[in-house]
Amino acid sequence: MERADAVIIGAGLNGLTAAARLAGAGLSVLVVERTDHVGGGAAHNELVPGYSVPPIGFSHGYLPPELIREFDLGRHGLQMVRREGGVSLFDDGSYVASYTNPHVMQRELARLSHRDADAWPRFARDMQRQANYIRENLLQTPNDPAVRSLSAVRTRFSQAQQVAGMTPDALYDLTKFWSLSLVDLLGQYFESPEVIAHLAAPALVGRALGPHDPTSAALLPPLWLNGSEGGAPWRMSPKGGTAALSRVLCDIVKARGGEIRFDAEVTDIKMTNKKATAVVLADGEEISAGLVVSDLDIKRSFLSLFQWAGLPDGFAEEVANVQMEGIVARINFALDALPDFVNLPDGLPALSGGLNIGGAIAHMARAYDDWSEHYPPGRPLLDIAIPTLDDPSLAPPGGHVFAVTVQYVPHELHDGVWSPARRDALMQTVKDMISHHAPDFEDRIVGEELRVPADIEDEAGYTRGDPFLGQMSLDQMFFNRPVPGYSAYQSPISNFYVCSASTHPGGLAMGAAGANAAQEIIGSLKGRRK
Amino acid sequence: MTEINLDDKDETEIVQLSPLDGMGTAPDPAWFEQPANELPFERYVLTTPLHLVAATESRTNQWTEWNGYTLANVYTTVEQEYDALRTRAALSDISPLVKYRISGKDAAIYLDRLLTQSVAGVAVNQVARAVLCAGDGCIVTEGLLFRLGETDFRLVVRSPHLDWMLDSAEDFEVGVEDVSGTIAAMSLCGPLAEAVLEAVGIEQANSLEKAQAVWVELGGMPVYVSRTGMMGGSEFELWADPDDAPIVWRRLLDAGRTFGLLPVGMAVRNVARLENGIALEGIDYQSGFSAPDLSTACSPFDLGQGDRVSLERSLFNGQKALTAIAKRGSRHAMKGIEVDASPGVRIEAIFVGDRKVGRVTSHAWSPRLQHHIALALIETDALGASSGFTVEVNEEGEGCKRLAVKLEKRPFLEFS
Repeated sequence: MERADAVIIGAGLNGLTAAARLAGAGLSVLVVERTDHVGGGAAHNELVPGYSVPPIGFSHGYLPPELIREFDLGRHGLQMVRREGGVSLFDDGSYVASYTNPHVMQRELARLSHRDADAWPRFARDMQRQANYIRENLLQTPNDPAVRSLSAVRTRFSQAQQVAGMTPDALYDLTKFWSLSLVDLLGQYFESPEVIAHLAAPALVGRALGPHDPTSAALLPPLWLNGSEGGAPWRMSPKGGTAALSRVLCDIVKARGGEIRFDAEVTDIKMTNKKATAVVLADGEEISAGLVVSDLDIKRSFLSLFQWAGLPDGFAEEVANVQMEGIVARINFALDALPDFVNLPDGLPALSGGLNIGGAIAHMARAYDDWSEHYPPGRPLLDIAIPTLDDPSLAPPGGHVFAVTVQYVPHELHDGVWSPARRDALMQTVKDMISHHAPDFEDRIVGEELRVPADIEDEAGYTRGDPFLGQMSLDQMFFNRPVPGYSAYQSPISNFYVCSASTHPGGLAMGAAGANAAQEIIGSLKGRRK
Repeated sequence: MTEINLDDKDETEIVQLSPLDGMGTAPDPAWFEQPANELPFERYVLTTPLHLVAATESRTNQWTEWNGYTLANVYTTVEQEYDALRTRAALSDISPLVKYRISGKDAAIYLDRLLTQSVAGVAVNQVARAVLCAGDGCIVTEGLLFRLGETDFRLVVRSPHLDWMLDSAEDFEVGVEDVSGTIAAMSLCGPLAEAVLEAVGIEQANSLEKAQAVWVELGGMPVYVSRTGMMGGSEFELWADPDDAPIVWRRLLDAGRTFGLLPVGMAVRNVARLENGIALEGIDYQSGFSAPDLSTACSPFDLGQGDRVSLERSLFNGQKALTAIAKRGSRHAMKGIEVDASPGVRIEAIFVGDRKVGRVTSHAWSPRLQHHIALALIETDALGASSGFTVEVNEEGEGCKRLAVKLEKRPFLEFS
């Protein structure tokens, strides 16, 4: 029987960073992947010949520079692309754009409201402060207040000192940012409804929250993790998309002696004396493992790989209760040329950061209500990435790709399934919304595809198609992620760990959960040897 | 676009030549003009109303940015410009300053609420230093307050905060308006500045006391002249309509030629304001409204400007926090230091023993003192040590070394 010190289930970004760190620590590592490619939900595919699109996953995010340095990703070929901050288009043809240059950003806001322009520096300051708090906590295991070990108490004490050192204003801000709704928080800075809608829209994508829901303000600071010089934050992504990042990580795992096996689906975990000792593949093959690390979401990790009876009392229920919500559909369009958005000026640099078409806050709130009641959205919020603007190699010359994340699409409908007619209707809604601003849009389409949450679930293996593998709501973050008591990537099963985005820090940082999990495993192995 | 019809061309008309034709060619203002309705992204850095005349004077093409505007950093050489500023006269563009007009029945009451000092004692055509503090006592911005009339003020500050000023203006019968685009500003300083003004026909200059201002007419153009500035010595600031400003500038330069007047860029102005010991918002410390890291923001007490705060009066912005700071003292303080090092070194941190106790926020080589002078933000508990301060300097060819420094009183240079 084949044997590895560590078997990693799933070659997603987190599985790969975990594998790379474990291999670097001298363990023999085997990654088993169900599909024929690395990158999990982040892999690219070809829509029509010559057009490459990322089927699922977000167009930009935060890759901690610490990981770029640790794995020497730059020298292995990874290039990060910085983009301007995006554009929002409104029904009446007006638009708001975001710029990383603070003066240009302020002048852009001044087109809508002089007062909002001057409020910008304060908003940017507060966002940067909150993003700094978050950034400090991304690359470490969350500190669980229920753990009473000496080192845990020591960390907590130093954190308490940090809090004690904060000014009252900073503390008030902290509570404000974690409890208010998006609209209430933005309303404390800005008066223009367009500006508020423009800033709220990107924060909502992928989240099962509406703009008026309490705690939705907490969705804003993560957008600032890539840093800012006083203007809008950079939107960063790897050149070639997250697929390129996965390929580079794959090379690093191999260079460190790790092995990756494709078309190998794990269906079962073998246990001996309540310890995970081997994985069983779909074809019946068994691989003996010193330890098993799962890059599957928390529900699949426990509810489909284990006999429920083997899990401690109540644990299966607790996992089943984790809120995982399908909320986005993905539509990819292959276009033979860039459609003419009549109301956007030529050469608008902010377009490379993406285009929001969602209308006013009221429209977003309405779409969220539709979603809650399992209706197809009458008017979804569209988050359109145009990756071909700064990476033309993704399409034939002149061609473009629109990767549209359609927000507020329910997993199940109140009256049945996503039938072909229902899918066509959603597709047409989206086309109409884009055509309203770019009348030639439909003529430019050479290929199109739609994935509703159920399709995302089938293809990428995210339960209910949740892009965050567990919603990033306050009750499911930090030491409560993935479930209370198991925030250190461990599980009730000895030698079985979870490293997917279901664990801290989830979707906040690419590959961080995997790297943290590996760190935790290496630490516990050292402890055992002593 | 204009169509050029060569047949109709007037023979006597001066042909607008290409800029490549060399000196003596009048530049076409259209090269610099900002088209109306220009979109924000079409130009990342704007030009001031004086850009065209400044560009004509530039022999170096060295520019710098301030508040989103392009300004000359060096026109000729740093040495020549410094000499002009300290021994003769210097003219500079300071248009990127932010200007607000505050007027109405409650203007004075409103300003009492906004500023750290009461404006009651400021007479018409008098100028007062203005410090605006946030609720936590940190300076939001600072600058000058001009009293144009009984109920009409102009506030000139370093960074824009209209939203906050409007919020504070609620319930007051007062109008707050950003008039930055309607006023261009020049600084004229140096021992012969007064003479230059007299030469262009502004005789009122010599009777103008410090912190006073007067409306004058220059060739039919209204210009507001104030005896203000931060370079030290004899200095004036001129406030004019953006259309008139280039002509005022031209006249001053022409009349000043006999006095050795030179246009002076930001590089030398930075040396001069350091010699005068002035710490600037946006350079030495950040506005309380834009500093993500609170340790880079300062209260007036941190800057040694406690005399610009009068606590014993009716409610004003930051009063509570400032009262507390006045009682318990500052966390850090802005101090002047002198370093015995040759020109061209970099100085960043200040130590006592091996402990880093502060940051050097700006430093420059003073040609007059033949010393490096610097401003440093130092932790208050380290200030008890009257000596033992060192800085790390990196000198070319000499490597990195520690040099002892002493705290100097500000201003570094005294002017009569």
